[in-house]
Order: sequence, then structure tokens, then C-alpha cells
Amino acid sequence: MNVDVVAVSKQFPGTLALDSVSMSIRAGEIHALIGENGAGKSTLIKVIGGAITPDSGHVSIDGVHQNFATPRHALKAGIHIIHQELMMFPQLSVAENIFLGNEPQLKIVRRKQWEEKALSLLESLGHPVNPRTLVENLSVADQQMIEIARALSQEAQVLILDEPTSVIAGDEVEMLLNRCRELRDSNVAILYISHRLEEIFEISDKITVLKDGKHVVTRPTRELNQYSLTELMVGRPVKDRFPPKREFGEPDRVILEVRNLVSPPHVLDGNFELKEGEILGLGGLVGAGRSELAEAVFGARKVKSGTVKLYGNEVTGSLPIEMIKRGVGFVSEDRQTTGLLKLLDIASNITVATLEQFCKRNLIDRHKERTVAREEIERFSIAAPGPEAPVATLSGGNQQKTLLSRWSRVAKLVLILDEPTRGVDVGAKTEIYRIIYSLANAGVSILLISSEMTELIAIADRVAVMREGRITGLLERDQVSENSILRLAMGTR
Amino acid sequence: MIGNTQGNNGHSTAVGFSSVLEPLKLFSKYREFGLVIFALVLIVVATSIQPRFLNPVNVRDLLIQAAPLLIVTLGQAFVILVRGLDLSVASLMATVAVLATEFNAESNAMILPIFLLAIVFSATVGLINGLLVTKRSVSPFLVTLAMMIMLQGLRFFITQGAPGGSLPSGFRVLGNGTLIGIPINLLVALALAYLLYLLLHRSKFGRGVFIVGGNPRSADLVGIRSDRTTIWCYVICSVLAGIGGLFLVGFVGTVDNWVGRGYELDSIIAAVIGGVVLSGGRGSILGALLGAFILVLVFNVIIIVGLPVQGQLIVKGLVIIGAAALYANWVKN
Amino acid sequence: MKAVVVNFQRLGRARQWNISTIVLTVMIALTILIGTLVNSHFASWGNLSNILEQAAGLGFASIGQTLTILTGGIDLSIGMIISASTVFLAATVDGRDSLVWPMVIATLAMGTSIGIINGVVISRLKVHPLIVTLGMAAILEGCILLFTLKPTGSIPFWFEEFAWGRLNGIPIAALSMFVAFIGVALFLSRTGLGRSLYAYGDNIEAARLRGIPVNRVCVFVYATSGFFAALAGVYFVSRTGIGDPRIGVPFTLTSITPVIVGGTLLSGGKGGVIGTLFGVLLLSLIGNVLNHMNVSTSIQWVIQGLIILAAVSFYLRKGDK
Repeated sequence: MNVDVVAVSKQFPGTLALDSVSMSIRAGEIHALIGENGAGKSTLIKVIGGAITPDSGHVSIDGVHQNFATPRHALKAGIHIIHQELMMFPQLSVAENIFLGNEPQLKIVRRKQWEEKALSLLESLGHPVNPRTLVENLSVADQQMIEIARALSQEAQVLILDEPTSVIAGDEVEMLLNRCRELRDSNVAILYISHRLEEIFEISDKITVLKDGKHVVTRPTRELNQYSLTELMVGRPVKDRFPPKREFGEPDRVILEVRNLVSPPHVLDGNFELKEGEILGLGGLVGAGRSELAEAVFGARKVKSGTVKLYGNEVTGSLPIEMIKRGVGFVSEDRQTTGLLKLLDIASNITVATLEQFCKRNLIDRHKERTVAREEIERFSIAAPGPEAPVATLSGGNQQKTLLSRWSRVAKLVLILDEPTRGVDVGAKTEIYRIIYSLANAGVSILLISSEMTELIAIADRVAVMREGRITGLLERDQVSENSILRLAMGTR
Repeated sequence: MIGNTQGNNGHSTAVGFSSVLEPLKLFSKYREFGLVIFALVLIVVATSIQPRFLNPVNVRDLLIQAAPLLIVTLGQAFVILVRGLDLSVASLMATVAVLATEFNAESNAMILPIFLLAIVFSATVGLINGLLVTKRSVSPFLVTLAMMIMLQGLRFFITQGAPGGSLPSGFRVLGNGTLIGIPINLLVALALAYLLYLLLHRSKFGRGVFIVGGNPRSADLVGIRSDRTTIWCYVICSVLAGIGGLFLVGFVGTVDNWVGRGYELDSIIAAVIGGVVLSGGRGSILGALLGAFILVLVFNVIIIVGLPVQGQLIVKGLVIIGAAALYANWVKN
Repeated sequence: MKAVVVNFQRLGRARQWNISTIVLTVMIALTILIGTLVNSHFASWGNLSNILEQAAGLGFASIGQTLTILTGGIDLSIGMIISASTVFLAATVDGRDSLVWPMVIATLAMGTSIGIINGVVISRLKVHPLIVTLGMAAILEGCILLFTLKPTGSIPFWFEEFAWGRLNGIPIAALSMFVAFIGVALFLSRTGLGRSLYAYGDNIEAARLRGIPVNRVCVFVYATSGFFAALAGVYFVSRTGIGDPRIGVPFTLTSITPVIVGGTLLSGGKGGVIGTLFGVLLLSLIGNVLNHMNVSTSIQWVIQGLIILAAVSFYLRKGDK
């Protein structure tokens, strides 16, 4: 079966997620789709799978015009998707998660049969899990394998995998890639999305690059290499992506000291020292517990043992509000749910953490608030009609800059940045790096969590690496490299 | 196959549809304005059917009747804003009323102490509601449902089935009298509304209410004590229900075990009509006021145009589903 | 605690049989024990079978409520559907033999249709179930009271057999209640649609992406709730011989209590009707014991509130990880 996407556009509040994108997926071919976060990959596959209706354009199957009204229509047509955000039923069993769906019927469920089939499917993927276990008791990797098993259990004509390997590693990845090849050879059309370029080159026949919602190029894999691909994704020579590395002497004053911090289940041993004005990178695989460590330090997560010291004073187990008063800021990873106050305007979003400064006799001075917001919009060059514009209508980059503005007003001592450039276009990324540098140069100590290796290498002064809840190593400036980070992140075997 | 003849039409219809929605969007931005228009339309329609509607006596009755619901709705709005719901308000109104009569006070000097006692009692109820919702994370629906039944039990236990006490005569004046032609209870309701407006829309606490309701997961991260904020909302709601109960008794004149019956649902309906969204974080004091006013207006119109009283119930049902459906689809767009 | 739960899962069987069922069984046994201490005839078959017989109305109503709560919703129109059904059935039959069965079927169809309307409005207009069913309750109440303010109608004497009759000493009403509970339990655990209902309550977005027709599942759930409410209405007509516009009023809320006590979470996705059955039995027994102890209604209300809070706290603690 062949799928053609024809001139599909989709507008979300504040962003044009897809801008007249066209591409084709052919039977018997593994087609890779790549692009930076926020390039529109997930939106595109949701359009193909009927989960999102495009504003314009259409999808056709074997030349027949289709716009699936619901995912059910797409599934009936044989299009199966493994979504990036795991779509599970936590309170149902593994077997039910694999087989439940499509047409619910009054037909009797053969539980035994489901369980046996589920087990053999998972075994064939090299990842046996008890099919009776409830999914809520499983790790993210287990859940990912169940999603994969589910997609493979159906007789898919078109299989779309959105970042299937972001939480699994090693043999399981190999096993998955082999299964994809087998399916290709039996004439299934496969669309494969991954940010791991080695994988893309290993498996794909063709590569399509998206950038900022636009189709950049589609080329046979053999005509590309990692370097040229990265350039296509980023849209400019790689060396221009980051500002030049800043000069930074060896500071000696420790601002934030974290010792043996434990906050189960994700943080088992957190250790680092953050020095005055330094940018400390924190690397590791997805699920290594980096965000959770940051949250524990900031007081947003219960601490079981260990210490956090700020300027030598113990502050372990403080509430976020207390950390804010001490001058610690935290830009969280998930901008949409834990960062932005989406129902409020830009001004309120900027001032929320420092609202006392705007209060006169217990009432908020809206005039002062707006004035300050206007200054901040200027200072961070946030593209917005004014301080009273709803923050939800801004683009990803401008939303992120709004958050940076909020937290830089708080962070007199320490600013924790969790994936600050995720889902942000290239131009905004460069601006965010500049903001980070200027804050650090002004003496703020920065903890930068990032999954983008190149970002850590280019921006951070030193890099700590986390694996399975523990800090496994600290790389000094001259030791930082892709290899050294990966070795610590994966654990040398 | 689905939609294979649509061709490029898909595009143009989409554009056409959204341009039709454009004025609606503007309307939703000024939701309170829309509500005022709606109320005016209702008044015009009612007057054209039954001119007696604008008769000063009817207008005064309408406003006097509206005041207790206005007060209770304001409180309900605070709870709904933090993603809650208070089903115990009506039961609390009756319980406060019954408690007040237990004193058998004659002197008007007792009015203030009775009010203070009612406020303390209501605040305790609200505190318990709030603590259970936040610290034990029991769903607001169940907490307030249980509270409703328990207050009912307490009330009947105190009165042994039939309340017999009396209230100082001043209560009648508060609930039924007028000052320079304006109902006293309405003046009190509007004064409370102004204070609550300052609290919700102008103070730091109010900002916190919107954030806790709209983004519960980010509230604590930006330095808002979300539990404390939520508890306060329940306390505010209960205190207003208690005050509303006393005014209602003053209006009705007699106390029975079911004073305020139906106010829990009416206050929720009024808040929803007024644009306080059940999923939290959206709404305003003015909207809640207008919602309550519109509901009372609808009730009054039904009576005055000569429809049977039962018609109130049917209209109430249709209005709440209609209003919620309208808002749900606005929010989506 | 967790280890115990896992062990029970390893034992397999339907997941509706878990630790809460055992706790509920113990509670029921305790209540009977206390009842016996209060009144030596408490545990007699005569008394127990009466309790069972009287529990049927609450039982039917709470079956439907369990399904709506399992999907993360709620049905606040149950009470008014019960009232509407009793008035409709008693008034239309009005003592005529030949009309009994056609009108029973019509009553059940009416309840189901009201449920369908609820479901369609909830799924299509995307309005919260609480608001929709609350609105529906008001509309129904208005319609009923327009029709009659007083109890009305009558039924042939033989139709009282459904609520009062015995089969080999076992109350027919209780028997039908058990059959209904077991039937729905099997449906929930053994059919694709039944499992989809859990999926819907667990994660509706995932259910949609899996191709489960979520709108249809929603309509089905509220239709079933309406059906069982109407069945409860039929039971009450059979029991009281009359159509009473106010008889259903308390059931909107009392139908929720056994569901919560039975361990179905208000957030949806977890629980089942077997738990609810235990909840119905436990609450009926407690009510009876309190009556034997001459506890006043007002205190019984307070106890009901405390039971709800205690049950929710118990299940929340169990859910803590």
C-alpha cells in the first residue's frame, strides 16, 4: 500500500505545525522521517493516522483521496502507529493492552489465548513480560516493547514508528530493526522516525527532512551522510549553530552542593557541585532521572535522604516557594503542562514567581506589572503583540523565552534549565544560548539538562552524567566529548 | 471510500466555517457582555408577553429572591475555579438556619453574634471539605456529597425532626426589606461581590486561584501554595453559603429543615451559565453574578408568563446543558 | 501491601476478585455478627431474605452507576429515571392485566432511550456527564411533576410477585438482582466491549487512538445505566403497587455509595460490579442493623457520610505506591 501526503497544513494556536507538507510512503520501503523537535513530525503522522484533521491538503491511499475522520478509519485501512507518547491503559493487563482495540464486540474474550499470543509476541522481540501484569507496574522500556508488540501483532499495511527507540537500547533495538526489515521484505510500507542518526542510516531506504513545519528534502539514504543530514535538519552549517565557546576561568566558590540525594524511584544517588557563574551540563539517556533530580533539588519532589546546600546552608526538602525566595529558578522540561500558565496572559506569566514585587497593600499593581512585562518582552525579544496577549498564542520559541524571562527574574543565584531548547526553532535556539551565556556571565550558576549531546558539548563548561538514577561521572572541560558522555550514560560493558 | 469526492473543498469549507465562527470568538472574549445582552433579551421578551413583568413590585421581588442565590453562587464559583464542586452548600444553608433558631433570640442585638457564629461554623465545614480534598485527595464530589448527608443528619439530630425556634425580627428586615427602594439583601450581595472581585481579580491570592485551577501541576513550581489556596476556596464557599442561608431565612420568614433545598444545583448551574468552567481556571465574579441573575430571571419569567412551576425544572435542565455545550465548543475553537 | 496485591493477581481469575472483595466479605460477616448480638433473630433466613429482597432496587440502580463511574463519568439522572419509570408504568397499566408486559417493555425502552440521549449529548457535545445528567434529571422531574404531583396508577395484584414472590423460599427480586450482577460482571470481564469500557475509563485518548469507537462506548454505558434505572423503577412499582413521582429522589446519590464502597474509583478504569454487589449487601445489612438498634435516621445519615469518606480513604491508601 502506498500513502501520499499532499500539501497538508495544520495550524495550532501560535504555530504553523505543518506548512503544505507533501511526501509519499511506498510499500516495501523503509522511509525515515527526521527533523528537530518541533519540526512537525508527530503532527504529520497524526494527520496520516486520522488523529488530527488537517486544515488543508489531504492524504491518499493508493491514489485514492482520503482524510481519515478518526483513528479508527485509518486503522481499518491498515495504518498502524506507534506513538511517541506511550498510549497505554495503565490499569489493564499487558495482554489486553496488546489486543484491545478496533472493534469492541460482544464476542467472548479468550483471555488465555490472548495471554499466550502476547507472551510469544514479546518473546519473539526478545523481551518477555508476564502478560497478566498490569501495565502501571511496568517500566517505560517494557511499555515501549508492548506498544511495538501491539503494532506488530496487527496485519499492518503501513507501519509508522514514532521514536520507538528513545527508551530502549542494545539488543532490543537490533531486534526491532530486524523485524522492520522483515516487514519491509513482505511489502509493508514503513515510516520510521528517530533522532538517532546511526539507526536511520542503518535501516532506511529513503530520508525525508522536515524543518519548522516545512518539507526540506526527500532523498535516498545512500546519497546522504550524517554531516549533510544534520545540516539539512538545522538549516545552516553545524558550526554556526552555537555561539562561540565562552572564556571561563576556574571558579572556586561553590554555590549549590548536592550530596547523595535520594528520591525514589527515579533518583538513587545525586551528586554534583555547581560553582559560581558556571554552566554545568547534565547528560544521560531519557529516563535516567535527570529531571527528577532537578525537581528534587528544587523541592518539587520528596527527598528521602541526602543533602542540598545553597551557599553552605542546608536547604534539603524546602518547598519550591522557599527555593524561589532564595534565588533559585527552575525552567521545567514540559513547557505545556508544568511551565506555562496557558490560560493567562504574557504579563502574568512573567511576573508570577515574583508577584510580591508588584503588590501594593495586597493588591496587584496591574500597571506596574504591564510596564515590567513590556520591558521584558523587549529585553528577551519576545515576538508578541503586547503584555496582555494570551501566552498560548505564542510560538514555542517565544513561549520558552517568556519562561526564561520569568525565571531569570527569580534566579539571582541558580537557574536550572531542563531541556530549554526542546521544540524550539533554530533561530530561537541561538537566542536562548545567548541568554544562557549572558546570565552565566552575570554570575548566575546554571544547571543545564539536555538530551542533545552537541548542545551539552558546545554550551556547558563541565558535564555531569547520570545513569539509572545515579550520577556516574563528571567530565571536566577538556574531557567532554560525545564518546565520553555516551560511555557514562550507557555504562561501559 | 470516505470523502474521495471532496477535492479541494475541504480547504475552502474549513476557512468558511472558521470565518462564521469569528464573531462568536469575539463574543466569547467578552463573555460577560454576551450575558448582559442575553439577560436584556429575556427581559424584553418577558415584557412583551406579560407587561406586568416590569412592574416595580415584580422587579423588587425578583431582586430580593435573587440575592441569596447570588451570594451562594459567588462561593460556588471559587470552588469550581479550583476544579472543585460543592454539593454541601444547600445542606449547610439549612443547617446554619436551624442552628440560628436554636438560640430563640428575641433581641436584634443578637443578629451580629448569630452571624459570627454562622460564619465560624461554616468556615469549619469548608475547612474540613478543603482538607479532605487536598490532603487526602478525595474527589470534591464525594467529599461534599458526604458532607451534605452528614450536615443533614446533624440538622435533624438537633431539631429532632421539627425546628421550633425563632429568629430576631431584624432578620426579616435583612432578608425582605429595602433601603431607598433597593433590597437590603441585594446591597449586601453586591458589596460582597465587590470584595470578592478585589480578592479574585486583583489580589495575589486570586491570581493563585486561577493558576491552581488552570495549571495544577505548575502551581507549586511557580511558588503558589496550591493546597492552601484550594482550602481557602472551600472555606470562602462555605462561609458564603452560611451567610446566604441566613439571608434566605430572612426572606422566607420561617425555618424548616429544607431551607435552601436545590441551591447546590442552582448555584452550580448559575456559575456554569456565567462562564465559570467546570474544568477550572476560567471564570469571573461578574460572570457568576450574571449567571445567577439570569437563572432567577428565567424562573421569574416562567411564572409571570403563566407557565406551570414545573416548567422551571425543564427549562433549568435545558439551559444548563445548552450553556455548558456552548462553552465547551467555544473553548475548543 | 503491594506484595499481597501482586500475589492475588498471580492467582489469576477475574481481577474483580481482589483484596477489597475479601475486606468487604469480612465487613459483611462482622455486620451480621453485630446484628446477631443486637437481635438474636437477625441472622435468621427470614430476616436476611427480607434484606436481600429490599436491596434489589438499590442493586439494579447501582449496576448502571458502576458502569458510568467505571468510564470516569457519573449518572445523576438515575433517581429521576426511576421515578419516571414508576409513574409511567403504573399510570399506563392502571390495573389492566393485558398491558403489564407491553408496558414493562416500554418502560425499559424509555429508560434506555433517556440514557441514550445522555450518552449522545456527553459524547457529541463534549459536555461533562455531571452537567448533562443533572440537566436531564431536572428535565425529567419537571415532566413527571407536570404529569402528576401525587402517587398514581395501579397494577394487577399478580405483578407484585416480582418484588414480593419467593421461589423455593428465595426472593425472586434478590435472585434477579444476583443474575443481573453476574451477567454484567461476565460481560465486563469477558467481552471486547466490556474490556473497552475499562480502556475508556483508563485513558480515553489512548482508546481513541486504538480505534475503539469511544462515542459508541459512551452511549452504550449511559443507555445501560438508563435501562437498569428503569428496571429498578419496575421493581418499585411491583413492590409498592403504585407510581410515585418522588420514590427515585434518594437513589441518585445512594446509587453512588455502594459503587464507591465496592472499590470502583471515581476517576474511572478500575473496579467492577462484583464489588458493587458487595457494597449493596453491606450497606443494606448495616441499615438493617441500625434499624434494629433503633438508631434515628439523622444518625444514619451521618453514618452514611462517614462510610463514603472511609471507603474512599481506604481505596486511596491502597492505591498509594
